This record gives sequence, structure tokens and C-alpha cells, in this order.
Amino acid sequence: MSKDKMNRRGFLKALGAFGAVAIVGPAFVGPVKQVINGVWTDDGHGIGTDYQDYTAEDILFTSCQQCNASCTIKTYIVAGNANSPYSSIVRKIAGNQYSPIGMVPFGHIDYNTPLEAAIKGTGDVAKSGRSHRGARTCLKGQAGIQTAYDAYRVQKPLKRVGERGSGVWKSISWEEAYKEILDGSKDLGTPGLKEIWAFAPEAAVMADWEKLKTDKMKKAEFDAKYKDVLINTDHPDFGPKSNQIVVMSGQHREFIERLANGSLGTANYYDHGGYCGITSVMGNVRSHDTTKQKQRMIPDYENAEFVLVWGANPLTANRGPTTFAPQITNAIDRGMKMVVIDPRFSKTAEKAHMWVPVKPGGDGALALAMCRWIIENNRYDEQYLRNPNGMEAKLDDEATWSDATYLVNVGDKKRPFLRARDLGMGEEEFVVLENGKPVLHTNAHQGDLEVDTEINGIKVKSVFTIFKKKVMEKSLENYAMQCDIPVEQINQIAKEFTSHGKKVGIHSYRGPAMHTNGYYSVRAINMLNHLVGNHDWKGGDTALGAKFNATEGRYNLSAVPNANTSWGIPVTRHKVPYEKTSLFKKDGYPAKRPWYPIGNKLIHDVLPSAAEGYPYKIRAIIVNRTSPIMSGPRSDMQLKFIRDPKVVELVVSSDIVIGETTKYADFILPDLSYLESWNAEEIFPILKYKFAGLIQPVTRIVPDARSTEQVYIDLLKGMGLPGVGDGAFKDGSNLHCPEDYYVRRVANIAFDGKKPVQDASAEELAIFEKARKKALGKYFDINVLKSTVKPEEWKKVVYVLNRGGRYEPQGDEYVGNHIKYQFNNLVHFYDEKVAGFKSAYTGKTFEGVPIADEIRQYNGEIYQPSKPYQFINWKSRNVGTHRTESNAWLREIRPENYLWINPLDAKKKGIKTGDTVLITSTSAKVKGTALVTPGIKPGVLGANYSFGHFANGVKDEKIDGKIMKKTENYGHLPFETNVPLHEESGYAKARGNGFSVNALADKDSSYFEGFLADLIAGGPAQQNVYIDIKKV
Amino acid sequence: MVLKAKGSLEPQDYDMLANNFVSDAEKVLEKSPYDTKLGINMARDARNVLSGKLKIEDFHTVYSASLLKEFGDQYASGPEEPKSKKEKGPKWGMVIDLKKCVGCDTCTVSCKAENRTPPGMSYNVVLETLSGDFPNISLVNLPRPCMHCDKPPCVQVCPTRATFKLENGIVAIDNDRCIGCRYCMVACPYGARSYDFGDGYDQEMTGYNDVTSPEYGIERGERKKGKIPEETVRKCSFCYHRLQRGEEPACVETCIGDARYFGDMSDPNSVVSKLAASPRAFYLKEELGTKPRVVYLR
Amino acid sequence: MITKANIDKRMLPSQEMSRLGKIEKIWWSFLIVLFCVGLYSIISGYFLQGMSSTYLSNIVPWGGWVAFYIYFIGMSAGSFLLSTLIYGFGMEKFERIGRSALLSAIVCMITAVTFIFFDIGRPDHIMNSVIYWNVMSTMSWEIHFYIVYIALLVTELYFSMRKDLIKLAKGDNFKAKLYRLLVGNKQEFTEADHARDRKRLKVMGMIGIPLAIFGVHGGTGSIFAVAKAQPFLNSALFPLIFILSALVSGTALSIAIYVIKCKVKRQELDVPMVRSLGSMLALFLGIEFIMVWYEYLVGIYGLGHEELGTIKLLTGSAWWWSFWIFQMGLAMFFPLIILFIKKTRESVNWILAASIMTIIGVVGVRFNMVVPTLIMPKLDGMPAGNYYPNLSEWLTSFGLIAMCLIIYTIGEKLFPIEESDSHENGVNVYE
Ligand SMILES: Nc1nc2c(c(=O)[nH]1)N[C@H]1C(S)=C(S)[C@@H](COP(=O)(O)OP(=O)(O)OC[C@H]3O[C@@H](n4cnc5c(=O)[nH]c(N)nc54)[C@H](O)[C@@H]3O)O[C@H]1N2
Ligand SMILES: Nc1nc2c(c(=O)[nH]1)N[C@H]1C(S)=C(S)[C@@H](COP(=O)(O)OP(=O)(O)OC[C@H]3O[C@@H](n4cnc5c(=O)[nH]c(N)nc54)[C@H](O)[C@@H]3O)O[C@H]1N2
Ligand code: SF4
Ligand code: SF4
Ligand code: SF4
Ligand code: SF4
Ligand code: SF4
Ligand SMILES: [Mo]
Repeated sequence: MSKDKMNRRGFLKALGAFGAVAIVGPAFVGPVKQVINGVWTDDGHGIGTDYQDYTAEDILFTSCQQCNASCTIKTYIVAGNANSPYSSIVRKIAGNQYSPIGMVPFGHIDYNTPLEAAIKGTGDVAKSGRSHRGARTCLKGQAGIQTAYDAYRVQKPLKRVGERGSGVWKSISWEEAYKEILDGSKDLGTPGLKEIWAFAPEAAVMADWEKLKTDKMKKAEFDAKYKDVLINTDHPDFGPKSNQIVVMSGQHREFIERLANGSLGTANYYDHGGYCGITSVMGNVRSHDTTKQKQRMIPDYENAEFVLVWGANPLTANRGPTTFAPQITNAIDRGMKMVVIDPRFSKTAEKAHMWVPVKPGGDGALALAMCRWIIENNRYDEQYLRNPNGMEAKLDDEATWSDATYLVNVGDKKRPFLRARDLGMGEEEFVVLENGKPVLHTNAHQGDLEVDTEINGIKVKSVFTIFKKKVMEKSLENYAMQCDIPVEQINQIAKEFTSHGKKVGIHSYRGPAMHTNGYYSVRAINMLNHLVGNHDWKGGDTALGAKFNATEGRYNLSAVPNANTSWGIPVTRHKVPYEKTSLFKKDGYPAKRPWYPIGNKLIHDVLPSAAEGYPYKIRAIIVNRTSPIMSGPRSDMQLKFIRDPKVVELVVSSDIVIGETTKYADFILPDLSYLESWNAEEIFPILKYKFAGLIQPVTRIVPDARSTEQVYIDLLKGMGLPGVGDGAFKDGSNLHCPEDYYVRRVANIAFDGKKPVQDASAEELAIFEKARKKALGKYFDINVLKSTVKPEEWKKVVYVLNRGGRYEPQGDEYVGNHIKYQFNNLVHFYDEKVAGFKSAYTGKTFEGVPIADEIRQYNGEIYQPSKPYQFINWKSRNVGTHRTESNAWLREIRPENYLWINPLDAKKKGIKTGDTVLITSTSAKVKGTALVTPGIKPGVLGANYSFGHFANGVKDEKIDGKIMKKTENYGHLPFETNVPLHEESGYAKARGNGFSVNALADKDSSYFEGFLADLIAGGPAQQNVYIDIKKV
Repeated sequence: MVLKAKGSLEPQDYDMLANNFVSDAEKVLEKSPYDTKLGINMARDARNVLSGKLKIEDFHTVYSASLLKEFGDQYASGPEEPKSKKEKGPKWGMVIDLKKCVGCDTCTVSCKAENRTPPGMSYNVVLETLSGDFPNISLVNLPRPCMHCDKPPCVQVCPTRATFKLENGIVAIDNDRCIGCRYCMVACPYGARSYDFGDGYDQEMTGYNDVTSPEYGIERGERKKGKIPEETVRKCSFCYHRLQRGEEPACVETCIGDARYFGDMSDPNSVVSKLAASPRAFYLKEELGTKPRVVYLR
Repeated sequence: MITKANIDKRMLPSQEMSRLGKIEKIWWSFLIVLFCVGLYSIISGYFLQGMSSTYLSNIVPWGGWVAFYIYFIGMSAGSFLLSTLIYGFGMEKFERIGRSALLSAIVCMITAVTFIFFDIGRPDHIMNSVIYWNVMSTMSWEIHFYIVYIALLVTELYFSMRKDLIKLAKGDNFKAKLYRLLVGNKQEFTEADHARDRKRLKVMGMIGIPLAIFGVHGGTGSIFAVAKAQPFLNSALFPLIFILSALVSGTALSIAIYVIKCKVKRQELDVPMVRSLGSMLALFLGIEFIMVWYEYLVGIYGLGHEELGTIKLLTGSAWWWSFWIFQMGLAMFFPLIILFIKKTRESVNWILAASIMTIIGVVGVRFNMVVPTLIMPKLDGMPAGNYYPNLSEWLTSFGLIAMCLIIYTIGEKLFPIEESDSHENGVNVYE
């Protein structure tokens, strides 16, 4: 017995030693405590007090560059690892609370809030839910650090090994790079810029050319004088050889354009504007008096009652969602009605009261149908339209007036406005009929709207009559067919549009514009605004755009002393009427390639034009942050030409990564990312406040990188050109580094307006220095900044830099019933200039009033697509153009561009969501993933355009013999759980998914390596793509 | 009547009203169908309660019988729970207005940026559901952070109390205690929890591992293989560290639809409390009784 | 069969010994190789890569190892409950499998716990699960129950063997020394001791029943059943079904161990016992079938889309075979049919076949409990998951199963698991 007991005790002991009892003991206390203290809550174990809080010394303000909206941002900087090459880590990006961009609807904080207080915030999260320690940015903005800290960034200047595009590189020093770019590279066989460049001022050449024409000078003499200077002495109007150096610039545009135009003297300065919104911009500009460019159609969301969003997507794209999204959601909350006109159910359409799935390219028809209904039902603001000038407008409390009553000389082939001069009544004034009598528009009170008569033997019509006649040419049913929207619905929208007085607006951008008929369609949409006269009204159409002057004031930063002012015909033949050129004299109609009299910066046509040598050959391209291959039409064609040394002998790319275009460069110069550099890109007019954003370095990641500005400064210095180096500016000051430009720019901003900004306090001066030392380390030298400006300016410069810009206080956005910053000028139904232009192919004139045109080729024929489906494209919700492919966080949101297919079409083709489909256009075959959705018009397919990368971490690159491996998919799973629309696994795929939309762009076979483009403005017709699909 | 006009009255007005009421109490009460004496006594004792002479519990003990008799089941409220010291701070809550949510996923990305969560882990997701036929379609975007349930199934099931509720309403995780059993993930009806598989963004992001987020106020420095919180469970913390430094959660700060609101749900005057009282308010999977602290507006 | 056994019996003992030795050698090398491969995969996978060595994800956080964990818990439950029939309720006809049932219950528990140990991400935090106790957590209760339960099983096994241990403690070999240590040098096993141990066993058996049913097995079922996030599992029937399928697999396991062992050793089989075990298996299967029927009926009838979705996943997805072949076929209908038809239900071989089918089929049952319901998205708009165990998970699982068999075999070798006297008795009775 006793033994037995002992045994048992022994057994228990053994168990104890085993651990069980010893552990179970205390475990019983916990439950008791838990039951007493409440089963859910606990004492907060695992909770600490380290919140990674920050002060003003950890914050720098700059602007986002993840898309082209350039929102103002706040960066929170931490040290990171002391042994790494970067100077600091940008811990988190948020919006800048000083700036109105990210502070809708609260309004930005007072500009004069001391920095420390602003950074501390209000601390009122509990009650108001907001601390205002930061502001909003969109998702791309949030992901920005992945662009800057991208492991695939180029670290050293690279020189290609082997053919262009071989993917093999050799790193070289900056000095070597500069030398080979300037003097040529023997082993690559590329010429140097010095060798290519030659310049003569326009005036001298033209004077000699005049002499030549009038036989005062011999051709041989002319040739001898200019053969080394001009591209072609037979065509002096092509300009100097400097034009053969093409500058393509996606950013730092203000800085680079100054040098291209004034230092390098090339007429071939391009930015992304050509394939961005040129057609829309010109459609808008030409619908308004051009002395004050009005480039956008944006409503005053804060007070509008009814808004048409027409081929724009302000809730995800546009300029940008950060500002527009909260404006729109709050407006809808307040009761604003929104109609979205878009062939697909965009994110904006989701929030709309009505979605109008217009047929792509039918926008002009839809707009003119509405115009027709409005005119037929007398729903236009006649009073507004009859005002011939500003004074009369003012009497009606209108800020703008129109040309509706102005007379047009329809007898003249060019159909210009009738001028006072034509009637011997005065000079350039327009003429209106008032009670049947011609009166100068400046003197008239109420013009006659409908005029069709003859004055002094001149056949005249009023603009309104011309417009009305054009509008009435097609029946509502006709228009309805063209845009594929039922007549009743058109009438309904038109009625609604004219039922809110001036509190209606239109938000339109690229959707209706990027067609061959884009210019007309954009114009047609503008007419709706004109008919109700909503411009500058509270709740109406806005012009805005007040900015603090940045390039003038304290320092004249735009002028180049002893400038080589660029001149000559740009290789893309924009802004030049064909008939005025020496080529016209030689070739007549049809011209080999189209000419775009109101086009500008048509970057997408550089390579094919150069390949054809029309009008001339180019020799070098210097490119930064834009990619004709990805972004221009017919990627394969662009690629074929840029890699051909016969088309372009020297390609230099300043890039942060080896992007698709950069891949074909001879030299890659590592650029600083947007978080490391100075810049002047700014949001365009969408704000009611006078505004000046800025971009300043907030960290340094790649030690050896140099900004594109520095590259231009150094190269141009090397070429001995003006505008850089010593005496680069008008006041004699120097330009040796970007700071010399940008800090002075800030001084201009600080001093603009009635009163300059305050001086930075001693505390703020100290914060300024400390914050930058922390963020930039050895890359910050306060003396470099300080020495650029005058001592009395410095404190104000600091004040502005500390706040990331200058922002007018909120409060007086409106003057009476009008928006404070107004267009306040003449608006046009009639585009006199375009009415006089001719097609370089047919020689036929264009129309002065908008028409509902078809999709046409350069030769004027209606385009007959060989593929059955229309294909449209748009901006990815989660990606910025093609420049954020490195952002894994964004790829997690949606890894590729799906091909949207209506269920009706999908059924016909036997396609289901998730299927791989083969997409065939006249240019290319690509593979995509299908998304079957009722959110796209039957017969139309579409996709966002931001995917289909093939460089930048998509393929291996070899640098100095070492392979830079391509990216890999994330996660440890071999299978895919994400399906289209449901991608919440949180794993990004490797870079390079999806397909390239621009590879698909249609050919225009009426000219060499042609593509469809707007016939007047030259913007690529990105939406006139036709495809067929097949399940694979 | 008086109560309804509350908003427009100043404290002194209340005093005056009270005086009026007292002087005429008998008359006023006489007119009511209820017991006058009871009313007068109650008024007296109510003042005693207010001045601290009488405990509220005692007040209720004294009167509840008579009140029951007088008002029957209309007298429902029992003695109020004495507020403990602990409950003083804010009780955090979030409101998401689906009418305003534009489905941009900015919340998702801002959360990744703020919390530097590894691949495969999103504390917040936005779920898209499309319905209807061309052209009459609608789409709901449903952002989903952690609901910070007041009756959280995740807390219920956790074998170690590694996950638990804080007094301020936040459901926290003690990663030093978590054994990584993932029972909480199975139990969370909202799929709000993720397991830290130890992945990183190093292939694409210079310095990704060098900085981590101080979740729940614990600064863990460099992210390293095997170091906490790897191989434990993580989820939205309502940005505890940001709240503690006086900042709203990252997703709220940056929500571009202006659809996310945050604040103290225990303060009836806070923005969130007011929104949560809207008839549009609803909760996800309300029927499960999890009592989420994230309120949706339909 | 009997004839066959008799023929075998005629073999020379030495021949017999060498045959057994050969089988044993093969058996051991098989197990050790399997175990080593498993060990390798545990080290290279679990320890070096952590959970990312599996195909688990945030959508499907539980997978193969959890399935095996509950599989072994279930087997343990079955075995144990069978043993309580003997020790708790004195159903002596099953006596000869009593100890082996207890041993397998213990080994299965150890295996189950090992599986779950390798399923947690932070083995270094494991003690937290014992130190901190969440009164609301079924899993927390489980962890504590498991400890008590294993202790109980071990004690019970000890007392059930004590008689033999004392008997065999006399000698000088290793075993005898070990036994002496265990019995505390007790020399005699008196009738009084016998009676007392019987009583002890009975008490322990009786304590064990609620512990096993509510604490361990129903409790393990509850781990799943209480998850209201998983509507398909969240039903009151679920723990019961779990217990039933535990009984099914436990009984099947006992049958299989007994029959296979006898066959390998060419010992006499207690056929009636096997038959009645077989009918017990049939009974359990029958009840389980009824429960599953109502579980699905109610599930489908409710038209809850999660439940319908899960059932659809179970029956119609790429893993349909796991449901139809393993769960419905091997673990339900085939054995039911075998045990229903008169000819087969009387044949030991067929009963064995039914048992093995069940044992294999229940693996599928356990997978189906864990995986499809997790694959189903919890909220509309979330992506559905995907999961299947990868090679590393399989190898680890096989390694752990090998470990289980190794421990069992060692147990069998080391301890008097076979009742020395009842064996002859059994044969006698039969003959
Ligand atoms: N997320 C994100 N935001 C961006 C950018 C980005 O890449 N991503 N890029 C920025 C840049 S550079 C720009 S220029 C702006 C552009 O901003 P938006 O012009 O607003 O955007 P897009 O997507 O180009 O086109 C707008 C819409 O036009 C529709 N559309 C296509 N064809 C037609 C048509 O024939 N008729 C009509 N009515 N609609 C049509 C498309 O479906 C799309 O929804 O966005 C900026 N913001
Ligand atoms: N079919 C179709 N085509 C379109 C559009 C469309 O909607 N549909 N949209 C058009 C519009 S609106 C625009 S604005 C254009 C935009 O297109 P692009 O002007 O080409 O601009 P991104 O795609 O942003 O950048 C191009 C390249 O710049 C490089 N890069 C990125 N960051 C930096 C940097 O910091 N520094 C330097 N130096 N280089 C950098 C990278 O190689 C990147 O691939 O595309 C146009 N093309
Ligand atoms: S809208 Fe564009 S600029 Fe603004 S935060 Fe987003 S990505 Fe940056
Ligand atoms: S949502 Fe899920 S993780 Fe969050 S508290 Fe509720 S149950 Fe827990
Ligand atoms: S994974 Fe961690 S937090 Fe979740 S239940 Fe297990 S121990 Fe608790
Ligand atoms: S509250 Fe913070 S942790 Fe939660 S979803 Fe928002 S950002 Fe992420
Ligand atoms: S950020 Fe705001 S608007 Fe955008 S998805 Fe999230 S909750 Fe919706
Ligand atoms: Mo653009």
C-alpha cells in the first residue's frame, strides 16, 4: 500500500518533471483573472509606447510625380540603415496640408501656420476625425517610394555593348559619358553632339533667302554660306542643323524647353503633350480666345447642379483623383447630378446618375445632337449669345461673351471673320449686325443672332447661323445612329443640361479627343457650354489657372542671353501650314506626310518622319521620362526605327531605370528620381486658388545619379552654348547646377503678388537646415542654396520651401456669382484659323464650326477597318502612365490590363472571364486576359493602356558582365487565386504582365509607316483601334 | 419639449428652466396622469443624485418598484453602470460611406505604406461587386479593414490571448505571444487577418527591410528572417501608433473619396458618432453578433 | 483461414522467427527511411523556410497538417472509446485489443500533437499556449485537455499492464529492468491488486469518457464547429459527427491493427470479436451517415450561399474525388456495403478491407472538413482560395505517420501490449 502511494507520487513527480504540472499550475490563474476582468479585454501586453512620431525636422514637402497631376505631398523621412548607399528613407508619403490639392473638402490650412504647429496637427482625431497632420494623395502617390527606391535603378552611366537593344551594358564614368556624347564614340560609331550641331539665326538666313528669291544672291553662294549650317539649303525653312538634335522631355520641361529653344536652338523640342492631350487641348484652346489659353473643360464641382463627365475619368485619372474625387463625391452627396458619357462603365460612371455608353468616336454626333435639340427648343441663353463684347456681357452679369453674332466672310475661300477693315469701318475689329446694321463688335449692344446676307457685296453669315446650319444638316436620328444613343436619351440629357441655368458644367478630356475626328468632337462639346454661357459662373465652367509667377519677378529665368533662338520646321511638321513651306512649292498636294497647322509637340511622329526623312533626317535624340515606344502609336514601328542607327545616329537617355525606350539608347545617364530632385512640374488649372507647387529633393538613393538638368547644363557647357554656365541668365547670374535655377524660381514665387511671403523665423530656418541634413546628408549643402539668391530673399525662400510651395488662403474663391479666377474673354463657336486650313493631302479646307465627322485617314477617306471590334483604352486606375511598373504595391491592386468584353460578344466568341485571348490588329498580335463585363458597350472592347512592359525588370540585363535578373512573382504559392476584379491575395506578379495597347494601334496606309491621327491637331487616334479576338 | 430644444440652450438656461420646473412642480405634475407625490420625491432625489448626496443605485432601488407600478414596462432602464476609470479614453470607431467610396484602393496602398506589410498581406482590401446587365449596371466597392469587433471571434478563439481587445476598442495582437496557430484567421468572419509568411519586397525595394512599422507601439527595427512578427498573425491595428501620436489612420487621412471617417464613438458629438446614427448605417454580417466598430453607410 | 493458420503453426519455430525477423526488418527500414525523409523535409521546409514551405495562404490558413491532426485525434478517440468499452463497461470480449487500443490512442495523440506542433508558426512560443489560457477559446481548452488526457491514457495503460509488467519484471534483461522501474519493485500481483486495478481502470475509463467526448474529441470538433465565420462548419451537429467519425476510424484502426498483427504473426484470430467489432463499425457508420445526411440537408435547405458554395466546392470542384471517392466512397458507402452484405460482413478479410478503406477514407473526410470551407471566400468579392498539400507537406506528413508507427511498434515491442493469457483463452474459447 504504502509503496503503492509512493509510486503514485513518483509517477506524478515524473509527470511534473515532464513539465505538465509545472505549467498547468499558473495556467489556471489566468482564466480566473480573465473571467473577473472581462473576457475580451486584456491588460495590454504587447503594447508599447514607441509611435515613431515625428516633428517638423523629419518632414519635407515636395510634389508627387507618379502621374502628371503633380499633387503636393509631404514626405516623412527616417534614417534607415546607416550603412546603406541612400541618405535616408522616405517612410511615408501623404498630402501637403498647406496646399489645397489634397485638402478637399476641409480646405488647406492657413499658409502662415508655423511649420511646427502644422506638422503637429490639431490633435482632434477623437471628435473631428482629422488631425490635419497630412493630406490626401491617391494610391499611386502613396506608392511613390517604390519608384524611388526601386532596386532596378540605373546606378552608373551606361554605354551599350553590341547592337542597340542587346541588353548588354558597360558602366562608364560621367566624364567618359559626356565626352563620348559630345565628341562621338569610336567603338559605337555614334557621332558627337558637337559634330552634329550647327546654328544660324533665322533672321540672317531668311534675309539671305529673300535675296536668293529675288536673285540678289546666287544659289551657290547661299549654299556655300549655309551648307554646314542648314539642314538643306534647298529648303532653308527646315532651319539649322541644330534641329537635327531632337529633345524629348517628359519632365523638367520648363528647364529643358528653355535650353532647347534658346541654347541648343532646336525646333525639335518635344514633350509627352503630343500623345497626351494635344487634340483635346487644341479643341479647347480653339474654342476660346487664344490670347488666354483655355486648355481644359472642368466644371466647378463645388457648386454645380449638373455635370456631364465626357470621356474623362476624374475619379481615377485626370488631374487628378486626389482633388477631383473628394470634390465629386461630396458634390453628389450634396445633390449634384452627374451623367457620364463613356463607352465603358468607368469608375466615374459607377457614381453617375446616368451612364451613356456612347459609340467611340461618336462624341461629336452626340454633342451636336444635343446642340440641335437645344437650338430647336430655344433652350440656349439667347441673351448671352447676343452680347458682342465684355461690356455688354457685364451688364448681364456675364464674365464671358461669344462670337455667335460675329459675321463671317463666307465668300472668301478661307472664310475668315469679317473685319471692320473689310468694310472700311475700322481695323481688326469684328463686325456684327445690330438691327440689320453692321456695327463694330466693340460698339454693338445686342448683335443679331441669325444673319445671312450680303454687305457691300461681301457674302456674310453670322457665326450662329453657320453653326446652326451645320448642326441642322443632320437629323437627330442621324446623329443618334452615329453615336448609338437613343434620341430620347439625347433629348433627356440636353433638357437636363439646359435646366440648371449656369450651374452646369462639362468635364471632358481624352475620351472624345483621341480620334481622327477628335478636334471637331472636342469643339462640339465646347459648344454646349457656349450655348448656356456657363463660363466663369459659380457652379459652371471654369478656367482658373492662377499661378504665382515662377520664372519672372526677382529673376528672369526664361530668357537666354545671346540666345540661339530655335526656328525652322519641326520634323513633325506641327504649327506649320503646308502651303507656306518650300516643300509645298516643290511637291504640291498630296504631301508625303500630314502637316498639322494647329498641332504641337507631336512626339509620336518623330521616328517615322525621321525614317522617311520627311521633311528631313534627324541625327540625335536626347530623351528623358517619356517613351515613344510604349506611349506612341504602333510600338513595334517606333521600336524598329529607334534601334536603327540609320534613322537616328545617337540616342541618349536620361532615365532612372532601363525603360523600354531607354533600352535602345546608346548611352543611359542615371537620373535622379522625383524624390531626389528639383523640378517644376505643376498641376494644371483645377484649383480656385493662386498656386505654386514645387519639387525639391527629399532624399538621395542613387549616389552617382545626376538630374537631367545637370546633364543638359554639362553638355551644353561642353558645347559652349549660351544659357548655361557663367552668365546664363539675363542678370548675368550663373547656371551650374539645378539649384541655381530652382532656388531662384522659389524666390520669384516668394516675392510675387501684392505682398511677398513672410520671412522664415529663426526656428523655421533651423528646422529647414536640420530637416535637410537628416534627409539628404552629404548631398545637402546649405551654402549652395543660399548663394543662389540675395541675402534678403533667403528667408522668404526658406519660408516657401518649408511649405512646399505657395498657396493663396481660402475664403475668397468667388466674386459674387462668379469664380474669382476667370476666363473673362471671348468664346468661339467659330475657329477662323481652322476654317482657312487645308488638308495637305487633298488641299480641301477644314470646317470652322464643329462637325460630326467620321473616322478618316490622312488621305481624307473614311477609314475602313479590317477588324470587327472597336477597341478603346484608358488610364489604369492603379498605375500612372507607364512609369510605375516598379511599384509592387500597385501591381498587387491589379496586376495587368484585362480585355473588357461585353457578355454578348464574349458569348459569340466563347470567351469567359480569365480566359487568355489572342488580340489581333493590323499592327500586332498580343495576348490578354479577358474580363467579361456588362460595363462596356457591345461591339466595343477595351483595356487600360499602362501594361505590357518588356524592359525595366521584365527581362534580364547584363551590366559589366553581371546579370541584373528580372523580377519574379511574389509569394510561395504555385497557383493563382486572383481572378479579374478579385485580386485581393495581396501578391504582386512580376513586372511585365498584360499587353501593350499601343502595339495595336492601326496603320494609316495613306502615308509611309502611317498611323491614324487627328487630321488637324495631329494627336494620335488612340481610340481608333480595331481588333479581332480569339480564345486561345 | 425641453429636451428637444437642447441644442439651442445654454447651461444657465437649464438652471432657469429647472427653477421654473421646481416652483410649479406640483401644478405641472397634477396635470399628468401619474402620481404627483412620486414625481416630486423623485425630482428631489434626482437633485440629490446630481449633487452627489445620493447614489444613483440607491435612487433606482428606491424608485424602481414605484416606477414599475406607475409606468409599467415603459420604465425599462435600470441603474446605469458606474463608469470605471478605465473607460475614460476614446472608443475608436470608423465609418465608411459606400456612397462616397470610389473604389480606388488608396486605402489599401496607404495602409501598406504606413504599416510596411509584407507581400501577400493587406490589412485593408476593397471588394468590388458588379451587378446588372448592360447598360443598367451598378457596382459596389466595399473597403474592408479589420472591424475591431466588440465581440471579436478572433479574440474568442485565440488559445493564448495573444489577440485581445484594448479599452479603446482596438483589437490588438501581441506578436510576441502569438504562436501562429491561425485559428483566429479561420474564425474571423471578415477575412481580416493575415499570416506573416516572412516575405519581403527586397527584390524590388532598396531598404524595404531597414524600417518597420511600430505596430501597437512596439518598434521592432529591421525586418529579419525569423524575427517577430514573422510567422505570427497580423492585421489592421486602426493604426494604433498613429492614433497615439495624434494622427488619424493612414487610410482615413488619404481616402480620396472622402468616404472614411474616424473618431471617438463614445462621444455623441463626434463626427463618427453622428454618422453612425444615420439611418443609412449598417454593419457587415451583423447577424453574427460580432458588433463591429466599423460602420458602413449604404 | 484456420487451416492456413494451422499449417503455418506447423512451421518450425526458428523458421517462423526468421520470417518475422525479415518482415520486421523490412518494416523498420521502411519506417526509418520514411521518417528520415520526413525529418529532412521538416528541417529544410518548416525550420528553414517556415510556413512558406507549405501551400497555405491567408485565404486557406489551415491545410494538410491540420487535417492529419484531427485525423489522428479522431483515431485516438475511437481507440480510446473502444478501450473504455472494455475497462469502463467491462465488455470483456474485446479485452484482447484493450491495451493495443490504449497504446494506439496514446500514439495517435502524440502524432496529432506533433502534427499541430509543426503547424504553428512559432514553435518557440509554444509554451504560451499552456501558460496563457483563454477561457473562451475552445483551442485553449483543448490544449489543456490534451495534456490531461494523455496523462490519463498513459496511467490507464500502465494499470492495464501492471499485472503483466510485474510478471515479466523478473529477469535480467533490459525490459525486465525497465518494468521493475515502472512497477516500483513490486513483486506479487495479488487478486486484491487485480481487483483494485480493475476498479482503477474502471474509474479512469469512466472519467475518460466525458474527458474524451467533451474535452478532447467533441472539443476538437468544436474547434471547427464554433467558427461562425465558417457557416458550413458552424453547426451543433458537427462535433457529434466528429465524434462519430472518430469512433468509426478508431474502431477501424483497432480492427486493422489486430487483424494485421495476427496475420503477420500468424496467430489465431478471435473471429467473433472481429465480427462484432465489424458490426460496431457498421453501426457507427450508420449513425454517422444519418448525421451527415441531416447536416447536409439542413445546410442545403438553408440556401445560405456560403454553405451551398462550400458544398459545391466539395462535390464539384477539382477536388471532387476527395469527397466522392474518399469521404463518401471509402469512408462511408463501401464499408457500409461490405458490412451489410452477409457474406462479406462475416469474412475477416472483408472486415479488414472495410476497416482499411475507412482508415484511408477518413483522411479525405478530415481534408474535406478543413480545406473546402476555407477556400470559400468569406466575403463577396474576395477571391476564392486554393490549396493542396505540396511535396514538403506530404513528406512531413509521411514522416510523422512513420513516427507514429515507429512509436507504436516500439510500444508493442517494449511493453506487454498483447495480453499473454487471454490470447490462449481466446483461441480456446473459439476452438
Ligand atoms: N490612374 C491614373 N491617373 C492618371 C494617369 C494614369 O496613367 N493613371 N495619367 C495622367 C495623364 S498623363 C492624363 S493625360 C490624364 C488623362 O485623364 P482622362 O482623360 O480623364 O483619362 P483617360 O483614361 O485617358 O480617358 C478618359 C475616358 O475616356 C473614355 N473613352 C475612350 N474612348 C472614348 C470615346 O470615344 N468617347 C468617350 N466619350 N469616351 C471615351 C475611356 O473609357 C476613359 O474612361 O490622367 C492622368 N491621371
Ligand atoms: N494608347 C494610348 N496611348 C497613350 C495614352 C493612352 O491613354 N492610350 N496616354 C497618353 C498620355 S495621356 C501620356 S501623358 C503618355 C505618357 O507616356 P510617357 O510620356 O511615355 O510617360 P511615362 O510612361 O510616364 O514614362 C516613360 C518612361 O520614362 C522613364 N522614367 C520613369 N521615371 C523617370 C524619371 O524619374 N526620370 C527619367 N529621366 N525617366 C523616367 C521610364 O523609362 C518610363 O518607362 O502616354 C500617351 N499614350
Ligand atoms: S493624382 Fe497623380 S500626382 Fe496626385 S498623388 Fe496621385 S499619382 Fe501623385
Ligand atoms: S474583423 Fe476579424 S480580426 Fe477584426 S476584430 Fe473582428 S474578428 Fe477580429
Ligand atoms: S495565430 Fe496567434 S493570435 Fe491567432 S489565434 Fe493563434 S495565437 Fe492567437
Ligand atoms: S486603420 Fe491603419 S491599419 Fe487599419 S486599414 Fe487603415 S491604414 Fe491599415
Ligand atoms: S480610399 Fe476611400 S474611396 Fe478609395 S477605396 Fe478606400 S475607402 Fe473607397
Ligand atoms: Mo497625359
